[in-house]
Amino acid sequence: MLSNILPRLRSYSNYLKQFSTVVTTDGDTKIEPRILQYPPKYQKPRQVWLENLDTIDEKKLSLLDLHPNIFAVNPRIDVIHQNVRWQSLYRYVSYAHTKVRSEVRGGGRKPWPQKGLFCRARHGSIRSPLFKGGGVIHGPRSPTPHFYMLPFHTRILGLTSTLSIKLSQDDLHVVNDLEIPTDEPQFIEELVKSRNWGPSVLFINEVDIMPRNITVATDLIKHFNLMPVYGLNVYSMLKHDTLVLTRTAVDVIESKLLTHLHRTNTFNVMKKYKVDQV
Amino acid sequence: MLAFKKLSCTLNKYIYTACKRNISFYDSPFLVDHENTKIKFETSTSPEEWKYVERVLPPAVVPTPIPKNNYPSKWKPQGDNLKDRPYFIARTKNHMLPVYLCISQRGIRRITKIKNIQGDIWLLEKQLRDFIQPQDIRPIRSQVNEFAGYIRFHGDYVNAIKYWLMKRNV
Repeated sequence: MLSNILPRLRSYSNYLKQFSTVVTTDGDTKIEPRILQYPPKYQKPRQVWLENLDTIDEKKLSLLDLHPNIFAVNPRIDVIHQNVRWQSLYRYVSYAHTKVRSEVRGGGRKPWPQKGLFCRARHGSIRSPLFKGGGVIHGPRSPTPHFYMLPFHTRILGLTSTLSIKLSQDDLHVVNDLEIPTDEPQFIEELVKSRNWGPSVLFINEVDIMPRNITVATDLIKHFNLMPVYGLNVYSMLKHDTLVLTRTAVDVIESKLLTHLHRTNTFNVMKKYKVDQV
Repeated sequence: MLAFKKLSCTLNKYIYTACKRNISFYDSPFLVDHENTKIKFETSTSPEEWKYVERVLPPAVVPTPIPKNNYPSKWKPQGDNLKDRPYFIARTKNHMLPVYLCISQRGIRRITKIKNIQGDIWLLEKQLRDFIQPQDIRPIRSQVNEFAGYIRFHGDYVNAIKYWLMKRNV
């Protein structure tokens, strides 16, 4: 009985090892802890593992602190919905079109005399909206733009809410960099599969010139996408299952959002958006 | 006579330009590059001098208040060591209390709104209600939105609530 259980336990212990929280650090590389700007007064800083991307097996390099004003705000799903709606609508142009009475072919002649006909209403055109096959009143006219601008702080709150949701649902991972050893797509596919990162992954880098290997490897995989920090948006974060940020990207995102939350001059960002800007 | 006419003409012209209508961009004199200016200047690239320029420039983010023993107004910066409190009201980015008066229905309805509340919002609402209730005969009506983190009281209690919050330094 015992001899039956022991090898099984041993295999389970190997299985459990990959979920254990042991920090594996190389001897010479020392990872500095993050220092938070605007130290939070009430909430504790959120913590996230710094992982590696150069091996398929996950190595936990260190623990990083994240600012709670960015990564632990209330998940305002109403604000997120506003952001997603805005992102899909501001570039949408409706091309639905109907013709008014002047555009419908024909209808220039008076169909019958004004007076003297029994049980005939007075009409001047057979393309009047009262007629079958006539013009349409208040129908859709093409092109109808649906552009509008969401208020600045709603956009900021949308980003912070989505980042908080991603972190709390364990869908946000921080890696030291995006360097992978090969440009074979099998490597990154196997890595994502072994780490349970879900089918679609969004990799965020600080700069828009990505490392060569990951660019070639994810080029033909349509559900692995690379994006620079300035392209980070609510819609893409929700569209992908997992968000993978580099450490420098975390620094940039946090400092930019904190600057916007504490900026003095909000006149330019909060004033009415002008489409026809000089 | 001729001199008078000339004078009146120039005067007319002056008055006309002074109160001219339909003024446009091209009416103002164009910028001319004067070559020989009387003011002598020299450019400097020393960081030691740039320090004084930076001092004049407006700050990009709101600076943190300097801790003092007493301040000229009733305002105080938010205290430290608030982590063990049951609730927390985050100050605005300008270090003010987020307590606002919302006037609607042409000045008839007055609602006091307290924003940015974290932690046990229900306890805060109960404590504030107990503080406000003696000031009014009618029962206090309030709304608590735990998700968005705000409390609304029916009536104008802005100064009372600000006083209460400042006294506890939350």
